[in-house]
Amino acid sequence: MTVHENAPATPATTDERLAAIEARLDRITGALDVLTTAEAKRAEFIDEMWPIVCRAGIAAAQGLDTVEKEGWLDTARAAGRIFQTLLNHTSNEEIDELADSVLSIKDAVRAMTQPEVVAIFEEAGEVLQDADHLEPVGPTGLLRASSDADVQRGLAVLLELLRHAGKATREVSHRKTERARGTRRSPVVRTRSVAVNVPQVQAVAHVGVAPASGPPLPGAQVTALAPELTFTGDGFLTDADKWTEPLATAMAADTGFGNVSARQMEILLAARKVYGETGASPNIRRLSVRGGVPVRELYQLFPQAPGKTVARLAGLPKPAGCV
Amino acid sequence: MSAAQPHVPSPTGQRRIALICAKAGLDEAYPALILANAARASGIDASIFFTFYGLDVITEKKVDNLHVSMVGNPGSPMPHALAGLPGMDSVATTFMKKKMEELEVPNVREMIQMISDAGCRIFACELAMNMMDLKLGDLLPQVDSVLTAEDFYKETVGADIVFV
Repeated sequence: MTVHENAPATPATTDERLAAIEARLDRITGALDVLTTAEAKRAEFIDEMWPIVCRAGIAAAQGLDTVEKEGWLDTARAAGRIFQTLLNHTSNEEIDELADSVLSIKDAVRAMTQPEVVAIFEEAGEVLQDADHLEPVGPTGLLRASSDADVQRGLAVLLELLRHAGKATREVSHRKTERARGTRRSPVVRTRSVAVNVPQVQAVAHVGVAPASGPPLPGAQVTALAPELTFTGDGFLTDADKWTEPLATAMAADTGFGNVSARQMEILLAARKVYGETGASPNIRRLSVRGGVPVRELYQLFPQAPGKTVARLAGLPKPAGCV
Repeated sequence: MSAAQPHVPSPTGQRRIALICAKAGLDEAYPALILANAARASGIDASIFFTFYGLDVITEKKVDNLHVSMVGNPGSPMPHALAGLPGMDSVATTFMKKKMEELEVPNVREMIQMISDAGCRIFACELAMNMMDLKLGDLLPQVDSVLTAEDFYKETVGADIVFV
């Protein structure tokens, strides 16, 4: 019921008016009472809470004080400095690399912190703590221990670890070389030019110009010069004593060798000298060792099969031997 | 008189041979060197590719110390139980070197000089050099170039390839 509803629209008498006012005052007092009670309760709550809040504040302050006293804040500040130093000495590329490896680091950490793994490490840690009490083990001890089932299992684990470590190492080094390689393929210098090798190239270039065997002997010129001479199937003069310098020239022409120069004739004579001394037709080796003709020069002046060509043109038998 | 044909050039031109030497025993080095020399003496283009332990044959520090081993050699006149004893290698090596000398076969160093003078090209394997940490300067001066296997095939197009 509200004041307005109870109040008559038009008061009839003074008493009625006073009564109405009284009734309103009562209601106002009631409302004030309600307000006062609420205020009192609030004050009461604050009174009750204040000491608690104060205690909490003091405790917090004391806590900070303890942290300060025990040096934790210093530690945190030092850690910050370390981190800063790390950052200063780490290049952007390294940071990128780290960022790239974050996932694998996370995986590694997760794998390392699995309960089973942690249990194994714990066990291993206990053993390491008592490591100073362990007896030294020699080769026989090693053999004896290897028959123990647990040791065998441990060995299997170690071997597997080693295998993976090896594999990872190989992959890492492979990646490193790939990165380092870039465009450069090999540290080895591929070719080098050596002055002494130049004539040799020329010798190779001569090869194939004129076959040493050429047409069979005797040819037209040899027949014209000395028709009585006989030759082997390979085109070597059968009787070395019948040789003359003009015969050499004729044989050179018949076999397609061409002209015999003064130096070439010298070599033919040297070969005949060796033949006279040793009784054997000299091969390239003997021509160079005993005849004093450098191997390189032999190949230059008689490009195609120098041993046989010299022997043929010098009227000697076919040289024997591999060297 | 029949035509003298000590060698028959192929219709396309020059006959060629390429030898691969991968081992460094005297009994493995000499065949390669002798075959190369004989090829050049017969007017055949020749080259030798030294790879793996064959590199010892053209390595300055090792060329004079090559030896022959009786171990694992079925042709060895020595019982195998004895072949591995200390000193056996040097006995066999001395024996073989003496025999070669009697036959006037030059030693390996001279042999390499000779085939090089004869125009035989001498190649070293790049991979094997990297593997054994060898540089061009560690090799004999007669070595023409350092090749990869692929380069070797390019250099020896048309050649008969023989693995000694």
